[in-house]
Amino acid sequence: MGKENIPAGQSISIAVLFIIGSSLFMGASGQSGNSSWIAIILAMLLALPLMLIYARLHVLLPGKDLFDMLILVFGAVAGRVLSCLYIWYALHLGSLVLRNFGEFGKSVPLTSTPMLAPMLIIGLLCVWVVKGGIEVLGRSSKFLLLFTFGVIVVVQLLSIPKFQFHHLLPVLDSGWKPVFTDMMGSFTFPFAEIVVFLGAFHALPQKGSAVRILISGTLIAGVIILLVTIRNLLVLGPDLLSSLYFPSYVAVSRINIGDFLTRIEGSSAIVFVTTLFVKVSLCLYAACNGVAKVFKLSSYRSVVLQMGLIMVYFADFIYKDIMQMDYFAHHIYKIYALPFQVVIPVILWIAAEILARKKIRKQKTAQN
Amino acid sequence: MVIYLLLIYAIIVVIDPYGLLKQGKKRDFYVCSALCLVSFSLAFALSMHWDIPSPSPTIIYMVKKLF
Repeated sequence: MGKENIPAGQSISIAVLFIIGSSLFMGASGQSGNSSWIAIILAMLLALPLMLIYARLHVLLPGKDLFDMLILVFGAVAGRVLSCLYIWYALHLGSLVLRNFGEFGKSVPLTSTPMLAPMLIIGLLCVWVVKGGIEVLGRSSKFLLLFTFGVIVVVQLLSIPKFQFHHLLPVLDSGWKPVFTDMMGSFTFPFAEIVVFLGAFHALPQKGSAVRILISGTLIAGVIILLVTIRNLLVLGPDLLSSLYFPSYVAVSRINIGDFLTRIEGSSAIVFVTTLFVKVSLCLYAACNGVAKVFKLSSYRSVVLQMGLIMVYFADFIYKDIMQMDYFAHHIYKIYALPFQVVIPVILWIAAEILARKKIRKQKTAQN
Repeated sequence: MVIYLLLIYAIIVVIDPYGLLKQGKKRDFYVCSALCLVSFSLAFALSMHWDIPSPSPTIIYMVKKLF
């Protein structure tokens, strides 16, 4: 197999769809009520320095992915232990997203179908695309992003007659504390989840391209999430919004244009499926790539099917019910994910900077 | 259900791990076989409706203990 390479445009598409993924449907954390849009803006701004750190890793260690970086910087043993943690995180995140889809199917359109059936179908589709390679995922993402944009814009425009602007007032009704709590929630889910994309950094085009990809990906995805959150808020109001598991689906179901264009929530569910497909695929790719690097396999493709099946089965028993899923996503995840998203990458970045400076100093002394 | 599962996994074993062995990728074969065993065990437990312990309560307990 030749070296995989994804152009910047396709990488941005993957990043955008990965970030908007399940948060588009699950909604942002909802303690701040009608000020949740402020929390999203703050979370987006907070995510930008983190993206610069991730991008700096690509400059310091070009052509290497997260697992190569960990093994190179921390050594064979510690690097492999940390790689195992990231394999777990990617596998767990993929399962969580699949479970979101399973719970959505079980509670809204496919109430009598076993939850495993839709999860298995999406999971096998992801296995197929990951077996095809990251380039296939990149090309699919570019097309799916255009489709997603189209649907979001149309739905957004059709929702305008249902907007009730008084839902936005009074701004900061319960103060800044819930806004900051929601900011942390939105920072870890979904913005900083892009750490999984580091598992595919070896496929990025040239040195320095990661900045453009990660920053534009975060900004585009942030604007989409912001627009969708404001739409949900204007249509449903803060009280109803915080009591729903899938607020976007309910908000879109309210659209009624002249008693003719109604019940179009199915079209928004298609967006959910397309985004989660990209998110699960990238998680599966990162997990398989990690396994291949830890066990020195000839290709990550050797374990894609088994890892994909484990991810699907794992999604089936990871939560007891939808309430536990919601509690985990909005209360526990923001603390659980922080070491994977911030602590380890920041330590890796500092260590990589020290190594790079030592290397430059050695080269200078060798020249003298 | 269990019979279907055994049939499906017989096909999977022939395609996936055995295919790797035939290509001469021994290391890949061992890792894939181990993962295949894990995935089969999970699938078997799910098909038998056995209760598989989830890691979520442990994560929730640890996070609550920390903060």
